[in-house]
Amino acid sequence: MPRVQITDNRGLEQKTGTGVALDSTIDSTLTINKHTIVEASTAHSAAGTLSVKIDKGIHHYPIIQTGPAHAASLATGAHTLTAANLATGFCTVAGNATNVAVTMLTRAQSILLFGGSSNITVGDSIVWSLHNPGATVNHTLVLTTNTGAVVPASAAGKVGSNAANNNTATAPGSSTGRFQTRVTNVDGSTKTIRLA
Amino acid sequence: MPRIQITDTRGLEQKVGTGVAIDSTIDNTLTLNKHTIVDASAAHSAAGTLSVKIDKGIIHYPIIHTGPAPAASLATGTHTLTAINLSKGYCQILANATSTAITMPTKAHIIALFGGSSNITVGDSIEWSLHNTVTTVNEALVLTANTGQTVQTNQAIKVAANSADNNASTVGGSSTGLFQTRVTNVDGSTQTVRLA
Repeated sequence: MPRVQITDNRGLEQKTGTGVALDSTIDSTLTINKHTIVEASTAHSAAGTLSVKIDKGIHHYPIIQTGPAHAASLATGAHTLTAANLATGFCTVAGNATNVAVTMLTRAQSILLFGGSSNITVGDSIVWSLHNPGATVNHTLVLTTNTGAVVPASAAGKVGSNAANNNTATAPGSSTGRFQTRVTNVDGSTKTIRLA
Repeated sequence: MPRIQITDTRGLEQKVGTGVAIDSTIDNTLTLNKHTIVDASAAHSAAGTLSVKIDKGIIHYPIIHTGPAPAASLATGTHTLTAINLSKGYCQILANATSTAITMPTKAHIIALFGGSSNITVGDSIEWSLHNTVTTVNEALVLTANTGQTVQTNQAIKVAANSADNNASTVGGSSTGLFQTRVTNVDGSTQTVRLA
């Protein structure tokens, strides 16, 4: 079965073996400079069996990711998130009251965020963080629904301020919540859950 | 525009259509055994519109990552993180005081961590966790700046002990913080934010 490999002195050549592979042992770049999908949705996958793996060797764990600098604080007080906000993966909103609503983005903004109407797909998701730099201990952010945007209830939707609670000797809160927002309809509807 | 595909019977061949694709419908490996970049920086992407997707199908969520076992506890008390520490993606330290300083790596270590001086790039980032294994409730870790390394303030840099607070009826901190460290200068300077 044919395989190909790219070498530093012989270029592209066939490689002996089974399966389909693109191999290289020199510094390598796979450059695809437009809306890009690395697709491994594998028709052979079965429920409960993971079929996608990123193998970085056994020495190192994190993957280096290139991305934008974090935006400065988006607002002090209530704010409605936008595609540009979530596209940075890290949103900073300062709480200035006991329950400050941070409203999920509109469906139109969700469509834009997920690559536009020609690319948004049910099942697509992103992971992002919401940070509350407020310095008053009970000034909490509350992630709030928008049309078509489902959010978690109660404590799972709240992000405490970046202030110590003088009633306790411990430092429990991180002032940052980690969320996953998943497309549930190509009209821009989403469901958001708290990851941490 | 030419496209190529690798088939199990005909090898590498041109495919009809537009854009560039490497397609296969059997088990696949893309092996690039040196410093490797999957570049989808999308010269055409617009602010606020995400353009990179890893498609695992809609049945399964996590990606399998191959990596090292987490290191044992790096220290009891103060510790300065190293490239090797962060390359594991998970750092355990036993606090032994109310505010135990965990200092970010030096700039030289950051350069090594991000692939050396020929590879480190502004905008590159990794995510990593800091776990506090101590069982004394008020002994928190405090992520601390090093030269060129910016960190946040207050609760956002504190990781509480792995212990219940007997003065509270609630379950407080998780004893683990998730951080993102992003390169801001190729001299090894970074900015770190708390993700959860």
